[in-house]
Amino acid sequence: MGRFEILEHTADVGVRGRGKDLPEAFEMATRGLADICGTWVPDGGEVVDVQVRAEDVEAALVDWLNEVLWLQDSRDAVITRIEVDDVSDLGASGRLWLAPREDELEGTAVKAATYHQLRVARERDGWVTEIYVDV
Amino acid sequence: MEPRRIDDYVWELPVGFVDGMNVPGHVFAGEALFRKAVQDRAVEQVANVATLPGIVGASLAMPDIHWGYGFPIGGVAATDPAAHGVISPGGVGFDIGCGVRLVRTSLPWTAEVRPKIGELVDTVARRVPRGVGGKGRLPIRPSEVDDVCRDGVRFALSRGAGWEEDAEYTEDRGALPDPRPSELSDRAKERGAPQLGSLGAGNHFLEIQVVDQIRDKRAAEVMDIHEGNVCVMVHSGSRGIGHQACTDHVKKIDGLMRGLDIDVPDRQLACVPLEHPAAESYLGAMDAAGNFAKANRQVLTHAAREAFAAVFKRTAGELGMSVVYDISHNLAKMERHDIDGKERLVCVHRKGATRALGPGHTELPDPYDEIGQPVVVPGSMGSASYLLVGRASSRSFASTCHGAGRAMSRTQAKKRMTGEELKRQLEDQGILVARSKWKLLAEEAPYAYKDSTEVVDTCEGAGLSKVVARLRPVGVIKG
Repeated sequence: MGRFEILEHTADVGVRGRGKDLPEAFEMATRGLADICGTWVPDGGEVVDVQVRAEDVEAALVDWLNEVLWLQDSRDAVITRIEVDDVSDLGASGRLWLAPREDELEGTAVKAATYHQLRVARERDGWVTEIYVDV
Repeated sequence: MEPRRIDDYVWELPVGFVDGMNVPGHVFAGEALFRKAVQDRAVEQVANVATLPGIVGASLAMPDIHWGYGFPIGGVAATDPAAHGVISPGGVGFDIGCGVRLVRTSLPWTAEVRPKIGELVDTVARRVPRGVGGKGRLPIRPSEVDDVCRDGVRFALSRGAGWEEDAEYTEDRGALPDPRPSELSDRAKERGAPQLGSLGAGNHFLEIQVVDQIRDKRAAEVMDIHEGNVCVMVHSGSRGIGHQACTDHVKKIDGLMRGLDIDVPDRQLACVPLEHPAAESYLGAMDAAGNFAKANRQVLTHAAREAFAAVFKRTAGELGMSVVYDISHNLAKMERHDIDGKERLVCVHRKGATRALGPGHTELPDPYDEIGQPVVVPGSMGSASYLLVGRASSRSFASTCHGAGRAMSRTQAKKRMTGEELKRQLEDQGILVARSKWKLLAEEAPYAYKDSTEVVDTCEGAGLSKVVARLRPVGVIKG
């Protein structure tokens, strides 16, 4: 079972995602991001295919999360479900379910995912991602 | 290599503090502020910036330095195109053109505003969109974004949101000189278009403040700032358009770096030589997003004027609500500076630092010619803000601080006190907070920030800027 945790930073905030495999670790990073933004509302929603191309697996994480931010911001939407199918050095692909935002959000606006102290690594019991976002 | 203290206000990180430094690092700070920056790891980031190709002078940090991503917050770096110097979008940040505007009023706090502060805070809050998501006060179509990004403050004026003189009292006379909206992606335009005239979230705010101390009588007189009178301070930026512009260009430049054989100690320092077409593209997008930020603060100013006029039953003109100044703290600019006795055109990155020109500079509005560039420094919610004037210090590429600077993470801040407790505590101090998401309020608590007084006094001691007036918050509308 994947999980995420919030990482401390003086000005901004980080997310560590853990999963049995890379797609699940990416899903958990996305859950953490939505938790910071206050946009995790697991109910209903319409599916959107998401695909990013990148230079390496670390950049794929940055691009994936920035894609999520762009989708929720430009559509003024909340995230109801996340599925990541495939992650590699070339990018990532999967689906998001989005629903129109109805209430004020109990969250912080995230401007972007950054490359600062970016980490994607295999550990003994699965995969871990670490990323800091600008708030 | 250990840091060494050069004088009362400057610490040096010698070349060799981290591998690959081209110049030393200079941190403007007294003992206590410097120790905090070391604990915070921000000092290491100052040294990392010193590895950028073509950096000249020193990698600088203002006294409000804290840990950022890539660049420290409070970082200043000048790069020389003639020495293959680079532009690094991370040295401007994701909130391109974020800045602060101060608007004065002729209203005395005690006699006129205090009796109506509750109504005033509510009225302003209703007119100022804020928080995550939602539309701004002047939403536009993506096809109109180019006009905003070209004209800055004057776009808002063309829609009736302000006065002609407002542009004159905005840095760059209301618009950066070389915007190229064509360098913004459709995504950036789509993300930003609905948000024109909104505060955003995080540390952004609109505050009603009282001038509670004048330290430089002449400069205050020139700016028509009087003790006991009420002012409005607006802190906001370029919203989604700047965030997306930076995201797009960092990705592009990150991809180019391998081919250019540039190596940086932190990937968020991604950079490209100023002579590269990608640099020109970024700078055009940056100026465009910076102009959106200026227009955004203009629309917010108009909303505040309308709210004051409604509460006090007089026009904003009758209430004397002129812009004192509007200045950004997240930009890069091509500027001429004396470096090793020779004038050079350099690209000055300011990431959480403010330009601070001295008296007589041609870019200043005429009335400010004798006092220098006004610098508006927001405090944290509940602590003092300051109005300074620049001193054009050659030690800082004419830069000074931008705020109090965070001292504590948001998680730590929330652990100490709930939002409701903080609201009550602020009210006990005479500071009214507009209805908000209380859970998040504590993230921006005064104790999460450094002492703004220590920061501005350090800048004054180091000769970067001079304090003109202190402003105390009485009404807070948080983003």
